Amino acid sequence: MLGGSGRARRGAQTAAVLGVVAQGVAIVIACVQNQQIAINNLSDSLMFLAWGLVGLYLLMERRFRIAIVGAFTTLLAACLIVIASSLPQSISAELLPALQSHWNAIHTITCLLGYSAFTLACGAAVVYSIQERMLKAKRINMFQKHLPSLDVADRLAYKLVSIGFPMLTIGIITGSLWAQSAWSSYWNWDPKETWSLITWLVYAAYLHVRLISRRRGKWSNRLLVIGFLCVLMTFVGVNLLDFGLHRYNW
Amino acid sequence: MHLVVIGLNHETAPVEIREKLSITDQQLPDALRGLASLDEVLECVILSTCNRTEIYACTPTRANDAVIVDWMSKYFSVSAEDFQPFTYSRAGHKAIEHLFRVASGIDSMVLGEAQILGQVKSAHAAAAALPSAHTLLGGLFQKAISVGKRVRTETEIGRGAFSVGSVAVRIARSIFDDLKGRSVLIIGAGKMGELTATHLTSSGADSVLVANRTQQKAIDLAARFDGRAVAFEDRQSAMLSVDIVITSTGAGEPIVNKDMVASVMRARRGRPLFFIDIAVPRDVEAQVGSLDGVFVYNIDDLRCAVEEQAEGRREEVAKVEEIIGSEVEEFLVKFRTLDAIPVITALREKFEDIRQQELDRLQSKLKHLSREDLELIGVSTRSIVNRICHTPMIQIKDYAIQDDSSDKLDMICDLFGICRIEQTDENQPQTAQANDLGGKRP
Repeated sequence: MLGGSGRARRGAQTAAVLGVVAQGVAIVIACVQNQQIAINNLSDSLMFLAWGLVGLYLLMERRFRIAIVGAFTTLLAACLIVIASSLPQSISAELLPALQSHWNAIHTITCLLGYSAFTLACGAAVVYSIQERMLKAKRINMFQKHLPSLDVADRLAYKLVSIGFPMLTIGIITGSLWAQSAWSSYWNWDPKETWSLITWLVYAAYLHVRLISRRRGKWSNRLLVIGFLCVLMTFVGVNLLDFGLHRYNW
Repeated sequence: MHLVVIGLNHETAPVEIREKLSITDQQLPDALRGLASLDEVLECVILSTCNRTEIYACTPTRANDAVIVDWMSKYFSVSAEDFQPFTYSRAGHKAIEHLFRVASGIDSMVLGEAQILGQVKSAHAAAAALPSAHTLLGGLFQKAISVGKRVRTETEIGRGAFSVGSVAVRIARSIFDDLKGRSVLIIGAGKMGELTATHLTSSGADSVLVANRTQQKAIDLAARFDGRAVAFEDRQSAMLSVDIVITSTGAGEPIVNKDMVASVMRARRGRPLFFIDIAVPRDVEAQVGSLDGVFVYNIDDLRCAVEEQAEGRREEVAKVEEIIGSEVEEFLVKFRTLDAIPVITALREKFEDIRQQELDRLQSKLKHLSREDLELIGVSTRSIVNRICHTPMIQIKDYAIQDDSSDKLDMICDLFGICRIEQTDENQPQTAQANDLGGKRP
């Protein structure tokens, strides 16, 4: 997908579309079979994340010429799938009683889609910084030429966050509603909850900087990277470091 | 038949010599006529550009450099000792290879540039119009043009930016992506600034502002771009609305400083600004480039970038040379079969004579034959001759590309009692000579 001929690119694109469609069908079948949303363990989550990444990328590619981002996205998605496949496949058809709620589905899906969007946005920010550095250092070469322009990287990141941010917002709201039904409390200051709030604040700050601040460019991109680190913390870090309420299922 | 090229280019000769030995398009027909009138020159093409003057000639015997050098000395009124040390001379397959390299742009000053291909085309057209180029040189130049096209489609030799203007467009695209809707401010109404702006507007940039110390010049230049002139003092506020600033004033001191741009950038809310500073001495203070979102390229930076593009193309040279190698081999085969053509023609004529004589005899003996009958006999005998000739003709062409072609062709001539010399002009005993296109076997 890097800079190949039109045919190679179209081939890669078709393959990616087929992959996304196939995995989408697989996810739906799994959900129907289990009579519930089949994203209960880390393996499922990573699979869904990979699906979200490639799906979002393809959505973005319709508007931007970002083949090099596509190469990284598909590579990352492939890594996620490999990791997911190597994890224990404990498909617990029955969730713990505390977790049985219809908020489950919306909460998980919106959060994971949000994470996918933020991951890609971070990629766009990194690409922006590399391109900016090369332009500042006056290194005009083939590699630099194949990177998306500053304008495209900036708009791409903004577009992705404007998808991811509402997703995370819905995720947090449904999460607290779910918490209310499970533990009769909307907010418990559990580490995962706290980190998701921090993440939300960082992306809110990004949108603020991107839309109205003078420090656009440098700071908006820094916030995207910081935001992604928060996503990592929320998504896996908390579970690795701590034993909060969310540590139920893996 | 021998092929030779004598010439000089940007690498072998200093510009003073190249200037003296250049031929304009208007002078070209006369020069070709003069050269072609020489007894030793059967065919000729002259390729003269600002970086090279080359004379391609077809000569009946080997080592005819002196004849061409003499002609050059007379034509340009420069003594041979003055320019000959700067020339190169290639013969046979080396000359073919040389022309293919030239047409491919790998012998050019700016590697891979496309202009040379057009110049090769017009050199060929001028020689074909006289005509001073026939089968050999005509075919050779046509082949060179197709090789030039082939390398540009099959390799990356022609990719990238070749001039300061095009490299500026390339950088602007890395910042702004599409240049459509982008605007340009030209500070200083000079020729170079205008040229760079033209590159940008023809790539999509659609509004132009011009600031110049002399207001009238600004108005004139703005009119050429359908743009608007602004006062030189208002250049800072003009920077607020544009995306690209081209500076090319003759000012001794920078006219754009860091404080000025810093305040502009605050008001621009981080929208990037691209400075193209083609003035010497510089118009934009060096520290301006350290500001966030500001990209400053001065003329040296742009020239370096052009060079760097050429570096990328340098990696393609090996691929181009590979293509040229195979094309030279292919052309050599065709070139050598040219030797067979007089033999084939002579043989055909001989058989046709015999057929005609026999037909005449038959006609006088068998008077009762009708017109239709005679026509039928004519067709039938012609077909007999053709069928007899077919295999030997193919074989002769095959002999022609072999190393001992001359001996074999002589033997065929002896065998059928034909003489090859007769087929050509007195002055052009083309096939009496074994060609010297090197020992390369096709």
